Amino acid sequence: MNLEFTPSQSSLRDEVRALLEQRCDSQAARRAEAGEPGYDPELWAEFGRRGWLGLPVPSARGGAGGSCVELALVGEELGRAACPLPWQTGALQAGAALGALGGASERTRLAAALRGELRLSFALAEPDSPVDPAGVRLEAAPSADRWELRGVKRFVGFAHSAEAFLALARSAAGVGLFWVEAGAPGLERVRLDSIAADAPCELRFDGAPAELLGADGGALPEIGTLLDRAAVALCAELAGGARAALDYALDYVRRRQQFGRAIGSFQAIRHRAADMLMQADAARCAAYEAATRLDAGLPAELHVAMAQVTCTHAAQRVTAAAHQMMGGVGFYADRDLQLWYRRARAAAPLLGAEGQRLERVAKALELEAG
Amino acid sequence: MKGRRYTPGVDFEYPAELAAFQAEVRAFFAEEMAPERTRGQRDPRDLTGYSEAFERALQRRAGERGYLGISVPREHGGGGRPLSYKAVFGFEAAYHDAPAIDTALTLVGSQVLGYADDRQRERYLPRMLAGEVLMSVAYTEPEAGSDLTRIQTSARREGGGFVIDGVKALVTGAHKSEYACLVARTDPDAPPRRGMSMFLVDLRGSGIRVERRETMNRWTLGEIHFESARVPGDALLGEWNRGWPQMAGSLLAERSGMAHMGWATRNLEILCAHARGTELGGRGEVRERLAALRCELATGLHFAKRVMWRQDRGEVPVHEASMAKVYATELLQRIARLGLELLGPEGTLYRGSPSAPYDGLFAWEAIERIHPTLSVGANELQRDAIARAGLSLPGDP
Repeated sequence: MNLEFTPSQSSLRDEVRALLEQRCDSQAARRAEAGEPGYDPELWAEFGRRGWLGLPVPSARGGAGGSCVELALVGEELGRAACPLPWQTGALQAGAALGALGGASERTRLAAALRGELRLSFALAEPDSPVDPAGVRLEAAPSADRWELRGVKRFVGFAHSAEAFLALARSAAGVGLFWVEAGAPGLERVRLDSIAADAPCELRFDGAPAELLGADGGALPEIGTLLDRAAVALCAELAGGARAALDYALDYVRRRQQFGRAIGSFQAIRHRAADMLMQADAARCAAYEAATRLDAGLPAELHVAMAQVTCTHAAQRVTAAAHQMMGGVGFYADRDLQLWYRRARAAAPLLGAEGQRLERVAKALELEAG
Repeated sequence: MKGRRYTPGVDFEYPAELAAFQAEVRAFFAEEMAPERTRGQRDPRDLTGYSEAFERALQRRAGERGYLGISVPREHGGGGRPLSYKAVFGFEAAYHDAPAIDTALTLVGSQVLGYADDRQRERYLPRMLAGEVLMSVAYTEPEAGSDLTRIQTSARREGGGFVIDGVKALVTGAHKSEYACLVARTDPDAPPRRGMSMFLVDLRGSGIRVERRETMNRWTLGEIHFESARVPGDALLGEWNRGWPQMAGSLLAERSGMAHMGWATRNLEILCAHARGTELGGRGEVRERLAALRCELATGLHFAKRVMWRQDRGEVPVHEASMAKVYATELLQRIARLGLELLGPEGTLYRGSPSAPYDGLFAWEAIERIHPTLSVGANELQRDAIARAGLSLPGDP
């Protein structure tokens, strides 16, 4: 039992935090979100220079071989800073997928992606199957020396500025991973306008040419593993956002005077804050326990599923409670609370509907009758 | 960063030695609490659910094995293990529903270890370690409640001893305890925090009467009446007029709340097994509610383990311990509530009633779990402590 990070983990966290404090304060986060491409490309390049984009990829494949705990640490700091960056779609999903299934010929692409010079995104969700890689219906058909994709992907993060996509599609053999150039004929990108901060797009494939990475129909085991790691990092991001929202509201209630005293001295506020701290800490513990189990190779299905339940719940509850503590001014766009509140609500469906998240836990508990 | 190898940092699993101790204790309780051993030993008027004779016999056997004092320093005759061992023992005792939670060492150990003089320690500790004595904590009073500055029970010097007058309320196990640790006003003119002293009093003395008041769950809490009760000079525990800081200091005791998590784990396991064994396991809303509680159980364990971990490092976790207490005790209520709902009307039947499922467990749980959210610092006070110690929020003016 040990609840402390190792020195190298702590220093990674400190480095990420320091960089984000310097380059992504809440004003910078707002500017990046409102502008193009929806994040700060210079910051992304800096992540590449520091080797952080290589964390999701094993050393043997040219990455930095980061643990899931390290992916979560970076996620937590991004969540705390409410910093829009393609950490999920670009690094944990697309970069990791390219590392996992790309062959020797993809090494150049991978190296460029890990330096932050090649912008990738990951196309998983579909209109009828928002989160389940096994439910993918995008059609992949062989044609001469390549493949053609037909169908629709949705909620592809930062897709309008990506140079290529890694898309999950289904052939006769099953679900495979495909490389699609952003400028491919037969691919249309439609920008969606959402509460999220990851500039989501819809991708419409009409015979778009694609390259198969890895075995035909053989993407799922490895993609499932890396999506688990990405999901746990997203959980940590939600935990970081929850704690930041709590801290932001606490700073306010300590200073805000009403009825002759700081409102933070009212028991109604103190007790709410105590509950928020419990939820934020619950999220953090759940995310890191899932991460450590994945890293240690222990059975983690239950813990990954529980982290998703606990962290989505906590982030939504804590950010809402923070609004209750701040009153009307917290609703102004120029107050930071909205950043964490919106991100908490946009991220949760990426981990499945609440019922699906709970059902994953129930399945791991083997509650089936008889 | 290239080639850096992962070394595990955060780890919620018990270390091997602690896990081995847990397995040993689990086997001990599985044997002690086997149906053929507990048959005929029930006493619904006792919080433990068992007769005093059974409780004392069990505690003596736990004492013989060194379990009760497992975390007491070796120089005092204990096992010298970290506090996490005591916490794990509490978890297993609760999980097996064994009457070994409120031991003399659990309730009064930190006071005796912290404040008793050598002669007192020699007198009490061996019997506490051996499980040969039961003790109670008698701090609060009818008019004091959670505000212990309002304690009115008084003690004055007379001859070589003291004369105590007053009433102590809500005392767990008072009717069977040999001793009670209490705090009384000893300087009526001083502010309360500087005018109280701590005593360890033999409850069999004259002028002391224990009344049993039935709780809503059929067991009894004690009210101890002191009517010009004369106690000897060596009943004073620690320093004169230092009762308040000593009382606060006794919070240094093990506070992970692992016993709560033992009950919670067992109860949720029973409900999950129940769902598996019936059509309930196929019903979406039942699956969702059990899954949600399983997630909360994980949180409760995280909070308790965090307290254990800090305590083992010699720290005194304040708000973390309050978080563990609040979370675990409220989780117990939620599990009990779902238990009643899943079991239907039969779930409301007490132990011994025809057709009571799980031996009436959830009827008892549904009523009982009001108690831990109120005792040892009501959860409202715990939330105040979390906000103060954990978040630096100001208190009432």
